[in-house]
Amino acid sequence: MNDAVFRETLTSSKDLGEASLATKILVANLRREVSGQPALLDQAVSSLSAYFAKHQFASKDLAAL
Amino acid sequence: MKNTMMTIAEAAAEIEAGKVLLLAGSESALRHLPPGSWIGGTSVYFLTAQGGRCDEENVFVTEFAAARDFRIRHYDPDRLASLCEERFEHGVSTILIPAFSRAHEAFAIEGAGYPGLFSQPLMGWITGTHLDEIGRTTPKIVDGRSGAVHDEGAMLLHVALPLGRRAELDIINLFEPDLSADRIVFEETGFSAATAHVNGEAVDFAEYLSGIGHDLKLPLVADYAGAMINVSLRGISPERGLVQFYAPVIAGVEYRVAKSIGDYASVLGAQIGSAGGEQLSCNCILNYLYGELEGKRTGNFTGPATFGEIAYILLNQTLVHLKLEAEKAAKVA
Repeated sequence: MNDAVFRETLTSSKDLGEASLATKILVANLRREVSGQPALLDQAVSSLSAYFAKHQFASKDLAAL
Repeated sequence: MKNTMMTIAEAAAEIEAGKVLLLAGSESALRHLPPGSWIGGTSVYFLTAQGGRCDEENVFVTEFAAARDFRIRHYDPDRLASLCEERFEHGVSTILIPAFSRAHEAFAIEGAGYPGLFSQPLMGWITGTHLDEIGRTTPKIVDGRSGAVHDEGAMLLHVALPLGRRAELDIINLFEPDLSADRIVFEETGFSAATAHVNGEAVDFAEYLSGIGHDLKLPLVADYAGAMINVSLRGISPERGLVQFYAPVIAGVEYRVAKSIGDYASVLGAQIGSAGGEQLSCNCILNYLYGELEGKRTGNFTGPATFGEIAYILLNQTLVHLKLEAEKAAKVA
């Protein structure tokens, strides 16, 4: 999964459908941060990328992005 | 997980058998239990297999039969941010926090930013009292290792799961935002608000809600990337120019008032279906009250009716449920 997908996820309001509750809340929080301070987008992309890289359970949620 | 309403003697026998337990009951009941591998929180309202009931004599017992190891910890409010640090590599954590405590407020406002919060399921609830005792006694949490009773901080039960088993945490929220209603955004995060931006215009929020004749039973709802997250209304006071909430509204989040749902018990029963049997769950005391659930059966999700629910973050008017399942059977998104 490349950063462009994470960037799109964090700057859209897309419903993450069947993604886990953890992923939905995390993405919603990051979206809010980015919306308030667009300069934080790169940092948020890194956070989301690290979340998916670290947690196997979340890998299934990638399909929802 | 096994969920059972038990007498004090029955629960004591489970504790003395060395089982890893999460308990809910009255303060008096919890104080009568022997030390062991358990944490507990005060609650006297329950949803049981026989229906909703107020019960100050018995305790609701959840056994983590799959636990390979466990750690019990009490965190002061100032240390809450480190609550994920002592988790097991592969496991799940349960958390109990007394209502109206500093920890309640701190977790509600800052919890989503705690390091590692989303790495493993964190499920629990805000402990309460009998409704007639609010203001006269404080909700409690109990460290079962010693029997120490606290009205501040958070009790954590970290459980190690066997490889091949995983925990899945989810919510059932009967409410959804009324998309024909106004968009509401707050400038500040908090358990109360004087003003809000309604469709972009700053308004006196108490006057606004009074003006539209808002029903207190209907929460504000925000869409978290597809998860509906409620904030319940505690009171509207146009005289004081203040609206109070049971969970904080979050600055910058867009809320709408919820759609009315009709008969709560029927709607909940329909949503739950036959699921729930061996899952750990809790449901909101407001759902218990507004849904007039005393004596009514609402499916197989049983557990305490709580003063706030925790599924990673603090929730309101929501049923939270946790299940353990084989890795290969986990939901594929």
